[in-house]
Amino acid sequence: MKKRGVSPVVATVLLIVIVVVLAGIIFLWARGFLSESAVKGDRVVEMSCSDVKFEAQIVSDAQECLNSDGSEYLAAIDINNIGNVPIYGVKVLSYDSSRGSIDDIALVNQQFEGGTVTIGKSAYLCLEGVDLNPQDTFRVIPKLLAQRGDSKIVYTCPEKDGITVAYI
Amino acid sequence: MIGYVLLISIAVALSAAVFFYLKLYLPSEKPECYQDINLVLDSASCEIVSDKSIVRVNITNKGFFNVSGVYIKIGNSDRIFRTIINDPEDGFINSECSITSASLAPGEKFCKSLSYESISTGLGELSIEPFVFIGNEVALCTEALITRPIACS
Repeated sequence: MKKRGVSPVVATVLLIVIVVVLAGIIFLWARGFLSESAVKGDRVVEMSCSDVKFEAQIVSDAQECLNSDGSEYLAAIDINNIGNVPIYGVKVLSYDSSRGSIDDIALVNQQFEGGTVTIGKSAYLCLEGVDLNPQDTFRVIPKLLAQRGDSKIVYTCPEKDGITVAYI
Repeated sequence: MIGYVLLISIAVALSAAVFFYLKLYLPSEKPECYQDINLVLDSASCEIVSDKSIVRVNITNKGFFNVSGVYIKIGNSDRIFRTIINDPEDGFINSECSITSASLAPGEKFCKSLSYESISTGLGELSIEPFVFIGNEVALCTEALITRPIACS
């Protein structure tokens, strides 16, 4: 019995069409995926977070930080950037071991005075409504400026890339 | 024939796209400062002149490598927040005691008077943190940090 298959020309055309369609699908998928991730320099911002190196210190009665009516000094967080990734800001979490809770500390400003803290520079942020007690523990998480599409965004690094500091 | 050309072009384009995508996720090499960087602060003083403080520093490179620059900072000794009083990007240009060049070679001295706007007379802390250029990137030498108490008068 003689069986007839598709001609070589039809087979080639089919193959090309399938490959083109597959390439199109992968391209559209990858484009959507890439546009979702924020980029810092030539890398995704998540990778830059693991390269951030900084020191932090919680201080009470910082002379640079006056409360709204100017009657008393507020607590502050000092940052010293010792790595090559500029730090735009920080998120400060407070651990309360007695209650087992984690609170997000309010900052007077979200950005350091003088802008992004580059290598070798230090800066401070004033903390609002913080009652400091010895051995209070804080988790300081860096925020980076990244590019998403045409706009700049502030990216908060994962908690694992932060550092833990105790108020002494 | 056209089919082969198309197939190869698509394969090349796909591999290029995958390469550039994966490149975003590759860890980069971090520049690290050399171990044998050693600066010595020969002398440091601070004087208040009208509404400014003038800090004079004398530094000698006692290490084995050229130092590209230093961050000279002043602040309270109980805080890590410090004010940078020099322009680190200038390197060691405009030294007042030796031939000036962008970097400080082993054995060379650097002397400089730096002014900043503060008339605080309390005891502060002067810190000098060297850095080197590794390629085009700055590597901070945190192990070679020098600190010294200083009071302006």
